[in-house]
Amino acid sequence: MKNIFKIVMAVLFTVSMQSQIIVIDPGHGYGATTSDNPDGRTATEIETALEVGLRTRTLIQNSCTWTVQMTRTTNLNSWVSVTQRGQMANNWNADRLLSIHCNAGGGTGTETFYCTQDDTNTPPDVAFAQKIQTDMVSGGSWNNRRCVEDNSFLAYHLGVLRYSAATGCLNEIGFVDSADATKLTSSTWRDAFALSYFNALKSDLNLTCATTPAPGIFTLTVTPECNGTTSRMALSWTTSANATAYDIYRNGTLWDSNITTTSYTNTNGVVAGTNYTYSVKAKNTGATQTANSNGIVSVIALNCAVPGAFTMSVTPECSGTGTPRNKLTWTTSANATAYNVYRNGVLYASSLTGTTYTNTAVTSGTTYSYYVVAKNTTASQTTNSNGTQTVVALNCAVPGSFTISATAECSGTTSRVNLSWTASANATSYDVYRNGNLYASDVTGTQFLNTFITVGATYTYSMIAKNNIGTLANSNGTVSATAVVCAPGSFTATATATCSGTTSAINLTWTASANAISYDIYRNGNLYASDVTGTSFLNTYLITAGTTYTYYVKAKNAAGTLNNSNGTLSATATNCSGAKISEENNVKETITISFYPNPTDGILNLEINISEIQNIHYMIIDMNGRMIKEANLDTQRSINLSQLPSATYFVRVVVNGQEFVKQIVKK
Amino acid sequence: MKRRLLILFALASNHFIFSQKIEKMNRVDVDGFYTNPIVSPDGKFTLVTGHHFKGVYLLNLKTNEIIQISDKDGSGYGYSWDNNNEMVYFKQKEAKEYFSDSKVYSYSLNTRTTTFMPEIDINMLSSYHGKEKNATSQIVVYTNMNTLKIEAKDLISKKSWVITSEEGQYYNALLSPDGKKVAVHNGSDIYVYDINGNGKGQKIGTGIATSWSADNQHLLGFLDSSEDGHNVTNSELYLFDIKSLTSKKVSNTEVLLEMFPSFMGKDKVLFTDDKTGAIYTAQLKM
Repeated sequence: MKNIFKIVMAVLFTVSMQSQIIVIDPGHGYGATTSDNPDGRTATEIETALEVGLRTRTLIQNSCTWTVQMTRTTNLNSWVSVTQRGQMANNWNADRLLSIHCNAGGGTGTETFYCTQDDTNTPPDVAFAQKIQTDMVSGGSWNNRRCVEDNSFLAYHLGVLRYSAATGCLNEIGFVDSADATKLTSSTWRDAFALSYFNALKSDLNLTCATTPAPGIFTLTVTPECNGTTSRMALSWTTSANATAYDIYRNGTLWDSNITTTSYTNTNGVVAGTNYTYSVKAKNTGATQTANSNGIVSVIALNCAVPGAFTMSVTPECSGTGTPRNKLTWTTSANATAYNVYRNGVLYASSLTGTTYTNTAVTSGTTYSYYVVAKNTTASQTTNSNGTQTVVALNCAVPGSFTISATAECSGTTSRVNLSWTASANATSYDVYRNGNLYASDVTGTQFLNTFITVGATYTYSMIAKNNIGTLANSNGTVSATAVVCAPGSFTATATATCSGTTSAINLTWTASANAISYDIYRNGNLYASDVTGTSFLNTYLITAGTTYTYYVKAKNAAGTLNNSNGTLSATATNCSGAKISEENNVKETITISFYPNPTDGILNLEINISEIQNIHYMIIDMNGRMIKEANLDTQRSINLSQLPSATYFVRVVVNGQEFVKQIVKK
Repeated sequence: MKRRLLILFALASNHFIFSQKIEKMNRVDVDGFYTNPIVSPDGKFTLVTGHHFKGVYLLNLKTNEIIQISDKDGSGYGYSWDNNNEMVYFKQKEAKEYFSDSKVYSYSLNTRTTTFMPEIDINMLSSYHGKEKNATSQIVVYTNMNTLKIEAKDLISKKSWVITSEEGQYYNALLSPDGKKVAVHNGSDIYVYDINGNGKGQKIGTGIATSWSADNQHLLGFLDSSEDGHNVTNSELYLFDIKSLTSKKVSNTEVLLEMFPSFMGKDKVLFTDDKTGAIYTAQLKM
């Protein structure tokens, strides 16, 4: 039980490490057995050196809180070289190294050596050696042989002292081969020798191991924190037994003292981002202070200022491997230590330390909104000042295959080509090429209605699907369509009784019917005049004053017919017999043209009622609307159609601004 | 007289006739007593100290120019290089301070300025090789002065753990360049442990290990011997093989007290002679 108590106490004192560190070096040592004796020393020396060393250690540990280590603690398996002993002392931060040996060769008394080889600071070694020698002479009742520099007497330097940085000395307690040996092996004298060493160490270190127990072991915790926008350090430590107060050390120097609690807040001189080291020493009325056992604690002060204003932008882009991604970049927010990214209002990425973020988990064409929050250790956070940024993720694949078709059609009276296509995957728009030339660009959807066309003309079409990655032509090549003639458009007519000189007449006029090539006049329900061109007709033939006539007009072209939309008109002829023909009333003679023969074998004659007319322009148009022939006639009144194939054609004649269209047949 | 002739012959030829695993030995032409060399990673400089491990000196191995970085007590043990060869780290104490109150400093080869580094513990100094950019882990090893166990600590996560779980009074932990193994000393023996602390130590030899090879496969060290346990009468260099757990003596002279070898590149060694304090380089026959 006593042993257990001793062990526990030894551990407690060992871990309660103090600044001053003593390394006791019992010289020599055996190998695995006592016959394994590398240094060839006597058992008396090997065992006495260890025993006195152990007893010295016990005295120190039982009375003081210095740290004491030993280069060996056993006799067997304990040999170490002299260089290794010095390395132990250096590694263990020894302040004093006491090497314990026994003399041989006949003689009596004790002697101590120090090594000051090329040492620029010899007094500490000399003083320590002299104190050891003095106390061993008195405490061990020894003959005082000498206390000298090693080489001056031994003609060599003692290895253990030479290789140690500590202040050290080597004491030869007494002689193993003289009467001294009796004292060396005496337990009582061994205690006396240990006490002499202990007293010498206390004196040399100028320390007293007071009756007041030294402060006990304790540990320190330092936590950086914010108090509002102020950075500070919160220190707390476990209670040190027997301590009455604590001193705070910051960056190796005393920062505050006589703290009676077990916590301390360092608010002054704390700069955000700066590294500070702290240690605490427990103290009481005794001379010995105990530092926190977990050593120097290093912490970095927090930045507690509210993160500053910053802006953020989002750019949709494609990666090098062709996948869409949205790249966020933002300006630095002062004081921020990290950033959180929110996507579509939800926290998406957190604790980012840079000022960019690439969101790769996006779907092409999908809209995403983003904002960024700057943060640090404070509770306050700052959102990017330019608000939520919205982008549509790019399509990063080249357009897919597609086909097109072109259909000539009418939209009401409008002739057009309906160009439609299958959707090209990934395409964002299309370019339309007509007759080999770019005709419309950046078209969206899957249809294009080409209305700027000429009836009867054939058009070719091809297309290119596009996006920001590339283009692709339609897979089915060029398609074509010929613009069709559309049915005549709606029109209205009026019928007004009038006089043509002294002849009663009905003047029939109408608005132009879109697409109409000619008109048929129906009077009293019967076809009265056919293939009338222009938009008026003066009916003088068989008009009887007082008689009412009904009219309607039928617009015509190859696609069909359409009556005037305002229905049958009626007019009652007036009596014109008394009418005088004044110069003002001189009615311009109406031009009439007839074509014959129809059908014709080749020559188509024109008969015009006014012989003076010259400069007649004519066109021959086939049933598809294509112009076959065009020319002017001066005095001639015939058109040669002999080169044309047998078919039905339209002949269009313009005379004095009036247009006449007649369907003819070439045999 | 015969022995003197032998020494003269050997020094004159710069080659030793003894059967040894080093050759082409050359003395670095610098005056003074130096020991405990730690060669820079690029092999261009070495740190050395003087008697009693006092003072730090920087020796340019190309020009043999030597400058003193520190003349304070405690400075000659545990110094280290940063991995970029630009900075050295050492500790020193003021006259009235205890060794355990020593403080760590850095010295810049470029600016020749010394800077106090309060954040580095003196006991971790020898395995500290500068702050590594963007590192997620930076391991150092040290002797726990309360328990005399060797421990490791990750300076980034602040986590620490015990390497040497067996009984013993350990000292001089030496971290391998890849940070995966630690050579430690217990009594007169050298052991190698895995850094994670889970394995048992494997004894690789006796002496003091002082330098890892860059490929983490070998250790250099030395073992001093004494005729009576008081002064060093001989010392030889040893090469330890980590895989085979074997060692071989690579020097065998009566003339020199070869100590503190340090790898210079792959197969070159720099060491000191403890009789004269001279510095030598030699080719290692691996």
